[in-house]
Amino acid sequence: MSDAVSRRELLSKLVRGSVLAGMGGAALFLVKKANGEIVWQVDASRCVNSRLGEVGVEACTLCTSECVVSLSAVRAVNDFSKCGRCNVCPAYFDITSAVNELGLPSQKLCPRDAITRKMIGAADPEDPANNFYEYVIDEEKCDGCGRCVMKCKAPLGLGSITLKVRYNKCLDCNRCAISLSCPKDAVTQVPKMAGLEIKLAEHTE
Amino acid sequence: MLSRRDLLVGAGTLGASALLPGGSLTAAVAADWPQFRGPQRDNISKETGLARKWPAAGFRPLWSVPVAPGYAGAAIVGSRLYHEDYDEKTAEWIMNCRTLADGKLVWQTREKREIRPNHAITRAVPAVDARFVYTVDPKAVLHCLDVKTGKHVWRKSLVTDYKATIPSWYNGQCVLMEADRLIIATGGAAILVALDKATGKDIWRTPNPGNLMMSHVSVMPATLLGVKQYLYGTLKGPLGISADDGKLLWEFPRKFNVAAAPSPVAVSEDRVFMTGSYDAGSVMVRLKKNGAAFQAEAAFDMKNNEWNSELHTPIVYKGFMYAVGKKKRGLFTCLSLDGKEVWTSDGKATFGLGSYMMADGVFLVMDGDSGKLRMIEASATGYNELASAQALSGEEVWGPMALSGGKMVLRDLSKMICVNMSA
Repeated sequence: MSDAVSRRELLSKLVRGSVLAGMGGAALFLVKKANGEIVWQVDASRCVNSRLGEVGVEACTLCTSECVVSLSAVRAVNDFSKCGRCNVCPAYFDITSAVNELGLPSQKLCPRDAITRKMIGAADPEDPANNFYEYVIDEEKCDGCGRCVMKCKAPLGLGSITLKVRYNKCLDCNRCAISLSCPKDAVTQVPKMAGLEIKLAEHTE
Repeated sequence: MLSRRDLLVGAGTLGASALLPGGSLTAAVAADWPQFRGPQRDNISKETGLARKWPAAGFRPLWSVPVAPGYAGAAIVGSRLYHEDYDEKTAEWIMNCRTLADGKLVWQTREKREIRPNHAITRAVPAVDARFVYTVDPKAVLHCLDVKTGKHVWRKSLVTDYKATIPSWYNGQCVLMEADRLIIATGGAAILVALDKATGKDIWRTPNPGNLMMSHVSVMPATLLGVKQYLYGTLKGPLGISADDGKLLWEFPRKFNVAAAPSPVAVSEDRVFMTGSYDAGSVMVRLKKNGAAFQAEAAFDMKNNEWNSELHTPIVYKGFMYAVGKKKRGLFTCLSLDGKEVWTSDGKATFGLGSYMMADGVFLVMDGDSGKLRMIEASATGYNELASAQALSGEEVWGPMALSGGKMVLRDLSKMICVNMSA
């Protein structure tokens, strides 16, 4: 009999403990969220535009169409430490457009012309096609449509461009509209990481 | 058909094998691999007697040597192999001759060449005969070296001599070696040139009024509708050039994107298949003759990128095409000659941008992401994997393979290895 009581007490303590832990966790989460330590972010391993193996399909534009922020709080970000700095960048050029006399595609990919490029390093006059270029995304123009992300993908792209929730744009809604509509559950709440704040106009040369 | 040289090398291998303890008369017939895609440029080796069981723990290399970042595979003639390399510290392009048995250097030739790594550096496989080694370096200089010493016999800069433009990501073209000549694409002042092997002097040039640019495509020999010709491809589509005089026989205007790398390949007496990267899809060109004049038309065109190969040229075998396609991280695929997928490796294996070849009734296919080599039955009936084993671990295992004397030479971005494939 005393065994049964102790079991009941034990169960009761466990339940109380769980509830308290849950409340504590929720409280901690709310505190962190209030302090901006928990943020919405795009998981590149789930995002159709970033994920390997997703080829031959149109870029998903839900981040653009669903976000309540003007243009979208999601923007394309180029991680310069990964960028191949190629002369013919499939995220910058519309590679299906006609080739000009320099062997370059004649049209750009971004419908908002949000990517600019400039040559970096020494120019090799004998070998102009292998000069290196820095590709900078203008956050004020980018609307996170993901077209460049879809093209900057391994094996031929290096996956340096990904979609990121920009903390300075995001309103941190409790019910993120993108998160609710994303079919891949690629937008989730995660601890804010300094590493996600990639400097946007800095190259390694 | 085996050449006299093949037979001699094969006989030597058999003789040596019989003398060895445990030597067996079922030992491999050895065949040289003297140039890109082998002696017939079809990526099919005449080697036999390959092991059907591979070590579960992975291949243990017979030897391994470090190499600079690149995809340049080896050519093998007799007991030696030849491959390009680069010294990033001294900024020197390198041609190496090694012993196939242990990888030791026989000779090495260096030449100053400033190259900034751009998705790696070296890409070309040399061509080797009894006297010379021919190869194109990353900045489009064609070298002819003495096969015994590595000393330069002649060199030609495709940029200076033919007004070529070095393509993005450097030269990827592997010179075509014929019995009496070399064939190389230049763009600029010519589409293709035929060169005397001993002197490097022009035998003929194909005029280039359309200003086609040199691509990463390597020229392929073919006989179509009874006419020997050389197949080439650029971003503007495939074309055929008369082997006799360099005259342009036909071209098929068709857009490819960014960089053309796989070679056009003859799949029958009158059809040529060309595939390309960056969502370009593939096209099958059907040729007709009106008198002596060729006419080219599309038998079918996968404009919506229904199927494509990014880097490597399909192997044509018994009326089917076999290649690693791009979709789903690289599925090894059997295609019918009307472009239909007969089978793929979907759900069983992916290969990234790995290379492949055929020998002894099987395909040897590299997973370009992981370095695992797989043996697949050469059959249109289905994907039937016979063996698999880890060969390399590095990334971008994309370099073409070479097989001779039961030894396979493979590479990733940082090392070249040799593994025993004999039973």
